[in-house]
Amino acid sequence: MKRRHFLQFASAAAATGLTLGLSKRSLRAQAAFAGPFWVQVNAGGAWDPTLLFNPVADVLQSRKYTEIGTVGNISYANVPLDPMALGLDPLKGYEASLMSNAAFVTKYGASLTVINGVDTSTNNHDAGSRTMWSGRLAEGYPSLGALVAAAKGNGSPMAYLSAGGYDATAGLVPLTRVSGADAMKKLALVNKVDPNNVMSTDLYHSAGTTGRIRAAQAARLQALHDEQHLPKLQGSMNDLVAARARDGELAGLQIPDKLIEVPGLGDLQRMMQQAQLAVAAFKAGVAVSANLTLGGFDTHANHDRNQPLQLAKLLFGIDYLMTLAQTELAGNLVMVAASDFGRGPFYNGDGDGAGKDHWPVTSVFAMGPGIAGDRVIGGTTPDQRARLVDPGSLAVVDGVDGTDGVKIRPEHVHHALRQLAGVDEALYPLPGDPLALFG
Amino acid sequence: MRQAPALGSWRVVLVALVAAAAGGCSGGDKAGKGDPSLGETGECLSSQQYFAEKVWIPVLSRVCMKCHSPDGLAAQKNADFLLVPTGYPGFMDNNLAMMSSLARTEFDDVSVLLRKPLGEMNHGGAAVLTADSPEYATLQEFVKRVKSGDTCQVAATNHTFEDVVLLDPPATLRKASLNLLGQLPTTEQLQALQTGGDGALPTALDELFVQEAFFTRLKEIYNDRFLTDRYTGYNGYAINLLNETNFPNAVDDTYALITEEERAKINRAVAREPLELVAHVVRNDRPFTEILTATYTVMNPFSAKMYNSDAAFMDAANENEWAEAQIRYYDEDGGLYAYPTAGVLTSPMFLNRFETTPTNRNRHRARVVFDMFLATDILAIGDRPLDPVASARFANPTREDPSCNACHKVIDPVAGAFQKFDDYDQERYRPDREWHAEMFPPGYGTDEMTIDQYPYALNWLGDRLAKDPRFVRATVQQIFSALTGQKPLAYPADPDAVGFSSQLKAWEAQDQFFRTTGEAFVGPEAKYNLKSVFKSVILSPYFRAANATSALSPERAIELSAMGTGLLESPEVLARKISAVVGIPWSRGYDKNEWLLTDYKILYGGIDSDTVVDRLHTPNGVMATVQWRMANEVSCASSAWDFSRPTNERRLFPFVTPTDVPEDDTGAANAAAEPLIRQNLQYLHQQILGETLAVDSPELNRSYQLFIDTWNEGRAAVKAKTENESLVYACRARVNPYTGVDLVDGEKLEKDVNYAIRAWSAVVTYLLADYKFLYE
Repeated sequence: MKRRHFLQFASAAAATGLTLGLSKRSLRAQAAFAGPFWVQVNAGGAWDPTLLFNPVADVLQSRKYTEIGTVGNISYANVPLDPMALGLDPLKGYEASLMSNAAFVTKYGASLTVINGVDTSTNNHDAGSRTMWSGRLAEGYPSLGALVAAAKGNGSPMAYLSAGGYDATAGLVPLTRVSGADAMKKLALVNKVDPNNVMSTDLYHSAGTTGRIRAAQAARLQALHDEQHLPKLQGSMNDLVAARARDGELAGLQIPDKLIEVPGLGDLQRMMQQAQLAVAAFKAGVAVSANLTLGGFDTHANHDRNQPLQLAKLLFGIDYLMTLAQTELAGNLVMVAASDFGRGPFYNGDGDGAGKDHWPVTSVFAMGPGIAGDRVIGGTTPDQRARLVDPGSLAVVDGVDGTDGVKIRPEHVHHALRQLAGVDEALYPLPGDPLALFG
Repeated sequence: MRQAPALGSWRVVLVALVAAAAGGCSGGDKAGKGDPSLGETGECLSSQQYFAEKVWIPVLSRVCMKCHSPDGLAAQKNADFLLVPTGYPGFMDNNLAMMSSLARTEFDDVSVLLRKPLGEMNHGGAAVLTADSPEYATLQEFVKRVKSGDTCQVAATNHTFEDVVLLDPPATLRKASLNLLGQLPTTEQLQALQTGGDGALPTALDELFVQEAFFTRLKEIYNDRFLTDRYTGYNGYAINLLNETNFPNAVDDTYALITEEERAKINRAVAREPLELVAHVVRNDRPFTEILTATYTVMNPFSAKMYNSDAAFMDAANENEWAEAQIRYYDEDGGLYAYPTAGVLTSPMFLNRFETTPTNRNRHRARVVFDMFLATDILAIGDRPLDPVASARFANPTREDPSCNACHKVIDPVAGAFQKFDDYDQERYRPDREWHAEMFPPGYGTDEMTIDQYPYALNWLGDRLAKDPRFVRATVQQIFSALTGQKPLAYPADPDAVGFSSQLKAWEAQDQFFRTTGEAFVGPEAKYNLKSVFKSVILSPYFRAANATSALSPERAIELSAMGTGLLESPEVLARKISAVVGIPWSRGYDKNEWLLTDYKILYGGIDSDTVVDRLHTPNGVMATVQWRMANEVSCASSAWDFSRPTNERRLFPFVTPTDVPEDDTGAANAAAEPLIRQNLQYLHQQILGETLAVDSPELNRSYQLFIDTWNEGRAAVKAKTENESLVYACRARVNPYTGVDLVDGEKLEKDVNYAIRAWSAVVTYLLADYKFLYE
């Protein structure tokens, strides 16, 4: 069979979840990835952009603020962080672990691109999360984090870390779940009996024996593969070979002795610990991209209490991540924040417990190397419908989509993110023409 | 692992089935290659195959589905002819039945199917085909086939697996037993299979299905769907969910008064109630439909108190005594009433796990019901852009906007069946609650519920779900995925793709297997006994295929893409396997909890039933390090311990002692050692990997060489005093791992003067890190 035909069949086979042939690429030693690293911050449940950087001064649409703040070109909802109004005990000092829009924009506005009026075309959480993180409404496309990890990871053992959110890989790259620090430490030095005891030198096997065991295992796996003809089994053997190819690199992983604690705000604590582990993995050169997640945004009820609280946690968590990235990675990190979709322009009730329901128009914001700062692209009408942008100047315009301008959709955002990351779009193409959304 | 080229029974089943479906035809005639009514290589096609390969994609999916899909224009105009998309289980059967019916319906002696596409009979879509088009010719052939019956007998040979090597019966039982029980088969069971062969395998499997460990695994499998183990996360999690008026024993002050141990038992019993119901139904060989239709649930003495039940128990302290009982609740006036029960649908835990809100109005639950019990992804209907501006033109978009109501007319009636449960307090039953008149009324498909049925709406729904053929398909696919780690193959969408024909064959074979298994499941013998599904999957090549007889062509490789072993074991299954094979668990020293069920559970691809709900089936670099850590720690913990036991109690080293080494202390050769070492290696390969090897096989030689090289290097280092004579502290046999009690001095094994224990430990590490140990 001609090589071209074989590759076509191998591709077709891969579509069914199998791999033909032992992957030599995964066995090759590769240089550790040096960045830029990517973090996708997922606000699970659908955030309200009008409480962020797409403010609207209309009390019918938002009862939380009347003032719109501005830093440079970026406007924000000037929502006060009142612990009582956010349902927090004012005596516990929780506000020290929250960040207001004003503080966030003041600190990061010069680095920030905000895209408003992104039309997800869905009100379904799963579909929304999928389209916001893959650029495609239908199933089957990998997440942005997986694409970047596959393109840049060179087989890094933990190329793509995920703490949740849409993290489909389409088989491009293995997915690693983020877990606790103690467990990770024991894995960094698997032959050491007690990695937590710096005084202990006990090993399970001598270095020579460890090498012999590994060599014998590799030879046996190759022999098993050589005599195996079923693609599913060959594929699973390939998977094991690939997983083991660079597992030794985890020895360079420096896990903090103690992960950060945020008493009383467990979800934020988890997000910040995810950030710590992700940055440690980036620094060790074993990871390329990571999904961080914070839930609690599906505010069908108690919107005015819960949505601002979750947003303030989210911004605090992003600030923590960016600060870590500055000190540990010299700022070489791209951060993209998005949510399933948006929330409707009006409340679903009159009382304090009223909520806001699903709405397909949302926002995205990002910062990091290659992303122009102090920019706002796109916008919404007073009743929160997406406005068009001129595809050249990106100025907001009105008229007919496709004729007078372009409605920004997730595929536009992902075109731009993929270009920024240097991801080849051929394998998972997106419709539409790219827009220079990030400068 | 032993393998046997055994295909016979499988091939016969498939051929017989398809021949029956095809309705007696002649075949095998390849002379007609090029004839569009024949297959790709000139083989004849049964009606089902003709429909799948020639009619479905080129005509229906490309021409008719534009309007006749569930959300298409024809559906909006209440057309009778509706095609279901590929996301529906059994979509091909449904569409074939619909098309066959239309083909038989004639107007002026011409099939409606041949008139409407030409724009005749007031076809709403006008003319969509011309009479001289190939698509129209395809429809003509289809109509002819429907009227005359099949003329093809041998199409089923497409789905035979003569080139597939299956695990032999003992190896199949080992795999099934480790997967389902976490136990190795007994010598007697294996001997029975050696004698009885394939014919004895079903009986051997039956013995597994009555073990309590099987029900532990069954609950694990169903928790992957129900995810109710989230509420075992901490003591009181499940109890805190319960309404304190309805269930006064859940009141904090009351619950706090009992001991921590008892609180844990109560919480566990309440949290696991839906899973225990599944186990109860299967344990008692009840029809599996009872998980939706049972008017009882199950309680043990601890949950019975919480649920105000007066169920009687033999032993009030026994957590494992489960009885059928009715949940009872107190209303605001103190009256005690029975909770309306419809299997898991009314389980307080199920209702909380798949919660609703005042604005969601049970639609999420309805979606879960379709997904979980009907294998139907309701979102697939609505997987297209949604225009909020257009929706705003309608006062009631979910009923009036065509882009909304395609889904809502399906899910809203089912959502209405949950109407008597509170939007905020998820499990609270409110018999007086009114439902939303502006929504599609409660019902199921075209079957509308009458108002007098509203108080028992979920019983009404459960009965209909249980009778839906999709429930059978969903059940079969659930067990299939649990045992093989694979999702069912998707119908290949692109007929122009390279390998389409092979992909289609793979899909057809698997689809046929699901149908066969489903038919047996509902048949007069099984009567909806779930064990029959387990048995069918285990006996199939999807579970047993170990290899192919020779290298496969790329086309055949795609056809066999779903075949075979090679499933990475879950943390739970691997943890049990370690205990079964080595004799001791891989557990934390300080509390004896198993690493794979605690610290490494998520890292090794497991779920927490809360935020991490999808298992990983492909290892990553971190999982690889978990494997090495496990292999190192378990070999360390077990090697010296095993040697410290009497020979007849050893799991790992029954044929050797630490003095059986190739040279004695003086350097003199010990010729007797090698046969013993090889015999023990042969035993270890069987014990740990299920692999039967000759003592001089290449793989055994590889293991022997590892032992010898390690021993040579280590002994030399000990002699040179660069290596200690003692084992590292953690690897010494000092304490009984089961009891935690120190061994007496004579039993302790702390030194390894000639390095034999460490050489054996290296071999055990090597085998525990092996593909055949980590995958099944």
